[in-house]
Amino acid sequence: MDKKSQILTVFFALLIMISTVATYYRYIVLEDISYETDEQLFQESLLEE
Amino acid sequence: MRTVAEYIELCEWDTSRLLVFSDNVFGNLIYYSHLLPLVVSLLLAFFIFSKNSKSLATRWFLMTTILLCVWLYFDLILWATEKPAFTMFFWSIINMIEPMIYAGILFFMYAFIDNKDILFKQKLLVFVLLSPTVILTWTNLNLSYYDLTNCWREAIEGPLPYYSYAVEGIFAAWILGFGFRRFFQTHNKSERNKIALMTSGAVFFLFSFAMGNVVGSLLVNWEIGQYGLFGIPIFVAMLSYLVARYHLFNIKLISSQLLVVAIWLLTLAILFIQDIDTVRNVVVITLILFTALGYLLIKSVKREVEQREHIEKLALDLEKANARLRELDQMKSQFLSFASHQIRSPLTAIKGYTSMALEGDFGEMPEKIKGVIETLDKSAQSLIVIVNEFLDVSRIEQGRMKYEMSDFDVRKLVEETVAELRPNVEQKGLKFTFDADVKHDYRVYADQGKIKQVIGNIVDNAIKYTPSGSIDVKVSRTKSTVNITVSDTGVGIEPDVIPKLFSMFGRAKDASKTNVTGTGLGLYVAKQMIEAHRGQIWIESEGKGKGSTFHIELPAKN
Repeated sequence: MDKKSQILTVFFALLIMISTVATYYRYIVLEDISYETDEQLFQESLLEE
Repeated sequence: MRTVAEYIELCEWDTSRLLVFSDNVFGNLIYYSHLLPLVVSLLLAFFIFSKNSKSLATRWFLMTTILLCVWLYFDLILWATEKPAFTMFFWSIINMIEPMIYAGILFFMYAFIDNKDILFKQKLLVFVLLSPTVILTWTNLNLSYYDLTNCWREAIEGPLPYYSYAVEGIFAAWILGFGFRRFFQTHNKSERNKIALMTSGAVFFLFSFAMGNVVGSLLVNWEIGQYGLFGIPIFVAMLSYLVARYHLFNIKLISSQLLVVAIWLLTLAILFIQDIDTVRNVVVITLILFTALGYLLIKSVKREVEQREHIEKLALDLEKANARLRELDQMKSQFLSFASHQIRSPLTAIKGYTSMALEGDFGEMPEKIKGVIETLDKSAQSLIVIVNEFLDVSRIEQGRMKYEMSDFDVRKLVEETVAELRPNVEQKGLKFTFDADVKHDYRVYADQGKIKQVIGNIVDNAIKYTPSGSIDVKVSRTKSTVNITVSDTGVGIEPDVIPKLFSMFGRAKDASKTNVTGTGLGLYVAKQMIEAHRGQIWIESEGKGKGSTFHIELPAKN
């Protein structure tokens, strides 16, 4: 692997790590989750089960 | 209006143990479809990597397999977890990893088929295409929200995964296009097979993988996708087999190990399955795996046995051929010896009578006849030299060459030889010098006749191959050796020809133009004789037209 490829790969690996940490921070640490709720659909779903 | 916690409570989800074990996973088939490919693929990739860790192809293969295993494990967590936060996190990461697996296979294909890394520009393009899926992983573009309109523990995907599927499609088409292009560019049959098998293996691998994912996502039926995952270990095994085969690893060993691991895992899995339909599915998959791996194993064993039998037959044939060759060689030497002896006797008679006639033993001859007799005398002499060379070769080959060893002064011997050959040199108009420091002791313990023959041969060659200029003969001394050097300003020798000159019938390409009667045996005989005296003989020449120098080195008698 040449030098340019190595730099690119390392850069991309860093990007993956940063993105993973950001995702972890949002969902696991902050628990920043949007929920979709619908009482009627939920009741229907429970009845089906 | 219910709170999120109330919705979750109403769903009555089981709490997962070690992230992956819970009653939320319906049926053990899910474990089977995830853990089997995970273990088998990882084992195979590490095995191949351990055999050739320096190969770029095996590195990309290992990296891709690790990504695949992470994907499988995270997917299993999604099946088991009851926590929306975990679902959102692992689902997001899965979406990020997925196109990378395609890219990994693409890099692996380039490294395996072209035996070099993908070009930087192509790699940059791949990373640019992948960038949005990485950078936007944590955003709502990836996963829009967690669905609590039912108890299915699902996230609803945004537009980003559809972009990922498009990128995956591009990579799959790239792999296929690359495989096709290389296939048609290559004319070697074995290389073509390799490309065809590797491309179809890679495409089927990605197809199996996509089944568990794209189909599930598009049809919103994740159960269908599970069956695709069973194809993964088959195609990982196929790719491993090909990597191993074309890197000449021990295929039989790989197949055997793979078969044992697969049977072990399958048997273990059956123990945990209680549902008869699932057992049936597992048995079908076991059968497919067993058939594929068993076929490979049987095929490799069969091939090995056939190869061994073939080699044994070849060895036997070779032995017979060798014996026959030895016999023929012996017969040839005997014939050579016999024929040479038979020819030499009449030749000696002819030479004797022509010499006597020329010396006037039979009275005065008319000038016309004298010229004929002189030609006859020279021809007889040339033939005697050739016959003697043949006899020497035959003696050397049969190990019958005898050496009569004694102490003598090499300087005197060379001086005598030079004196004998001086008329020939002067007749050709060449300058002839002899140089030796008389203060030194040049005694050696050797066969005087043979050494004289060798020196005569070397000087005679110098005369033959020097049309004009000079021949210089020198005798010198080192602490342990006596050295004879014969330098000429003759036709010279090309460097690539020099090593061949001391072999039997070894002559320079243009030698026959200068010396028609040479047999190519003189230097071979000279080398054998000098080496029999624990000496050395070699040639130095700067090339055609630049003359040459022959060196003879003999152990000195101290």
